[in-house]
Amino acid sequence: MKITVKELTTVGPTIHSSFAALPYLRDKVGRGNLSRPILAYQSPSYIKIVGDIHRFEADQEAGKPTVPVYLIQDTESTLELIQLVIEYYSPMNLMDKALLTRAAIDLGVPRSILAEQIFPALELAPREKLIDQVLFLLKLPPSLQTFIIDKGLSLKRALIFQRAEKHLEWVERFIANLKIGINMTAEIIQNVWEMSKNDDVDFKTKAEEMGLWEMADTQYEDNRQAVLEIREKINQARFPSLNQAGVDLNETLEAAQLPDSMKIKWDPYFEQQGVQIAFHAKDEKDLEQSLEKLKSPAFKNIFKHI
Amino acid sequence: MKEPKITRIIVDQKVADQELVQRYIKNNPQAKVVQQNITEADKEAMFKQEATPAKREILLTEKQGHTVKQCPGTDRAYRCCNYHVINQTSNCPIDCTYCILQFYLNNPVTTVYANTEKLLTEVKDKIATQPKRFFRIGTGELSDSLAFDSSSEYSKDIVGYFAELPNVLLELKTKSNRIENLLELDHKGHTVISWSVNPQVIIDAEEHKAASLNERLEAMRFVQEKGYKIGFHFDPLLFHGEWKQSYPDLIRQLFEVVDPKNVAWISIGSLRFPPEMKEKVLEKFPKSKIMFAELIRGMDGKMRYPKPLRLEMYRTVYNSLRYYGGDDLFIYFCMESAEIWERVMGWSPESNEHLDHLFATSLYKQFPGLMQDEPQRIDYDNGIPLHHEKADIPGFNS
Repeated sequence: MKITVKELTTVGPTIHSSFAALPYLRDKVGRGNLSRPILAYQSPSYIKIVGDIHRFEADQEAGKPTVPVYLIQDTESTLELIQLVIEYYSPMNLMDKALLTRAAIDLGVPRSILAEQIFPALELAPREKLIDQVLFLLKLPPSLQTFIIDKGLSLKRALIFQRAEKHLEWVERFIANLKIGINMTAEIIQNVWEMSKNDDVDFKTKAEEMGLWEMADTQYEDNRQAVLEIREKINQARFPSLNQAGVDLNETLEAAQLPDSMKIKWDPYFEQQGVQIAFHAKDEKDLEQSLEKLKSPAFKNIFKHI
Repeated sequence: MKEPKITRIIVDQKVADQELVQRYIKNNPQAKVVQQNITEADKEAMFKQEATPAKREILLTEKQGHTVKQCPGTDRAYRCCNYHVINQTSNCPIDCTYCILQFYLNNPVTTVYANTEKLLTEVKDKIATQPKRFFRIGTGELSDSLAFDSSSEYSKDIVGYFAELPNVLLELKTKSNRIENLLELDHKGHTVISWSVNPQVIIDAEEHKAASLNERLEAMRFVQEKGYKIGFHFDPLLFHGEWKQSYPDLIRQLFEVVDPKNVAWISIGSLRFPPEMKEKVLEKFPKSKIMFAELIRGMDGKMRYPKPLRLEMYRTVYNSLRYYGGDDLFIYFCMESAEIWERVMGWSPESNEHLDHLFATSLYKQFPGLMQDEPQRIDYDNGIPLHHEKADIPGFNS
């Protein structure tokens, strides 16, 4: 491969390569403000711009007669060209990687080569089945693609959207209206997806059953309230036996009629045996009364539960 | 149950003259045989291959270092029974959704240690150091004990060997019905053939290449006729829509075939797995639903059903066992807390050593002649593991 720095004229039509969309989020690059030469490739009959067409066009519009390019000549293989593009645009965000994967496929790179030789350079695992997962990201609505970049999501994390593939508009509304982050988003999608699979119903039906579907369009003054409500709805659906155990224990505690000053705490997952008891006694009489309550059969019943 | 079809047999030159190797080759004429000097780098490369349904390779190699080890068990928050394991074979063709091996051994290579004599001599030497203890040693920790037996005929070596050892029971734990080789062996009462059991609805959904319940029942009938002791492992109990009915039904079916007097032990345990395993299971078995159940992180960091649910399941199974099998059955929990023992059975072992002693005492009483003297608690309290290391997994971390 030979690379030379050259001034490319901005006059006339421009031919672009398969890497047209690279880098992602091109709109953020200032017009007429090239910071470094762009990549161009010398094919037998014409010069193709490899990426950064927006930057080229910006300089064109700004009236610059030429732009500096790195002109690639005598490339031995597509693979070599791709490796160079990766190097040029690194560090790449996840959407850049998806765009490059698409470009590699368009250029005819076999899937096995793509996985084994290109993915490691993109810091992705060299597994063929990841190809379709990476390409899935390009099907996401723009707001979610931007979300992926803004939050710096890993591929694994971004693929949570796959589990709500037919309801991405709902996911967008959820994120936008409730201002939730990726962890909460993932928790919602994962739980609805799992419960829908478990009960053999579709995603939307399950989200409705769990009371989460309509939440996407509910206005909250305080986002923390929304998060609490989401967690409660998820726990109600996911942990029926734990919820029931909590209800039973609370009923037993109520029946024991403990003084208000007495606080009983327990492991919400019920894995730790027993309870923590804390109380305030203002005098000897108060202490005796509290101890009497603790000795009562009604209170001891709690140990049947935890 | 279908025999796993071996596609390639890789023979480490160091064990090429072993009888076990010749058996694998003789019993698998379809397999390509490769003999070479195997280095650690070779093994590492083999273990990095991804498992595929069509590919099953056997690596016959030499075990260096200790073979008999403690059962990995779990941490001290839960009771364990001081069981020992011989991991002569690592990797399993049965492909149960919930199996920890899916997580650790997702490659097509089954490692078999073929230097049988060294391995068995080690057992003999080690148990001889504590002659007053009665040990239980199994081969079903990192593989199914009998799934490869038609190829290896290993049961012929090991059952006969253990028959002559005074203070140990061999447990062959399986979900298969490959018992043909066992039927003519002189086991002298020193082998327990145990089955992991689940209702047929679970076998269909989660134990993909295992023998059906009816096949297992038939196999139980045969080995019982040949005087083998039998074990049952209700482990893992799996939550499903019909569990309240299907587990008692299963227990009734088992005791229609097996006489409780021949049952050496019965374990009960419920689904548990490291959290990282969930994604692997979802990826490999997209139709499985077991990962969607109500699961929490237990005190040992593993995912489990919440205690209220576990208690309900355990009580149902335990009460059915007592109902159909009687009060003399030796029933224990695998990796459960003393609290669970208390709440379900009304008592709990004081320690892992105490549980070990209770095993021995139960066997002494149930099977006269199995051991000469009544087991003494002090020998178990003062006992030491046959090897301090817990069982390892070839290929893991490679």
